[in-house]
Amino acid sequence: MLTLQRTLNILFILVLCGVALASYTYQYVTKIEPCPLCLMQRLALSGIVIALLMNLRFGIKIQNYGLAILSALLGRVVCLRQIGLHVCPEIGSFGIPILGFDLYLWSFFVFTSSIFACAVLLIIKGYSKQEEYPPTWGIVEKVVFVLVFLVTLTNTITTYLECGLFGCL
Amino acid sequence: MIAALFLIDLFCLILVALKKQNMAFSLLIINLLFCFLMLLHHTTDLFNIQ
Repeated sequence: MLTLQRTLNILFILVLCGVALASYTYQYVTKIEPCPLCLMQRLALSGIVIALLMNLRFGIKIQNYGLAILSALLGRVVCLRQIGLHVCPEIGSFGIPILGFDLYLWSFFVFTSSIFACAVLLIIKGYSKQEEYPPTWGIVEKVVFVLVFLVTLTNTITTYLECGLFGCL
Repeated sequence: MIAALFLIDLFCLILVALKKQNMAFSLLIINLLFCFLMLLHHTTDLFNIQ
């Protein structure tokens, strides 16, 4: 059961890193600079990933899942705000749609799925006999950490280049 | 401001690597709080003091 929780946490982190990398690919292929709301969605995504990484580093704890759900809820509210801004047909959408959906709608699906995934992980944690998962910081966890660190570093640099340190409010 | 919040995220990751659990957790909460305030600023006129 503990190995299952660890594996699911790693998979969850890798999927979210994939989403962040896909948004980068989209940004550089279409050459569209992300808006402040898009950057805030990336920030919320980063929050979920760090909360899950804390599960791997310090042992699986309910409060870490709570933090991940809070981040996902925040990202979801930001998405709703952006959907609300573009809901009128006269205003039009932002960016080029992928498979018929705008990027902020995809983002909304990602945050909703994250809340769902956290709920499933909490149920698995509830059925686990051992109180706390003993943290292991093996090679897989280290690789995942380096990947997350690189994605966050890239986010920081690209956001700084676009907005400066205190811009894009 | 968003770049500064990403910097806080980076610092948080360093704290995770150094096994400073409480500090990393608190920093992430503060980060989320600032993100929420930014959303409020973006959505309402709450911080647009003339």
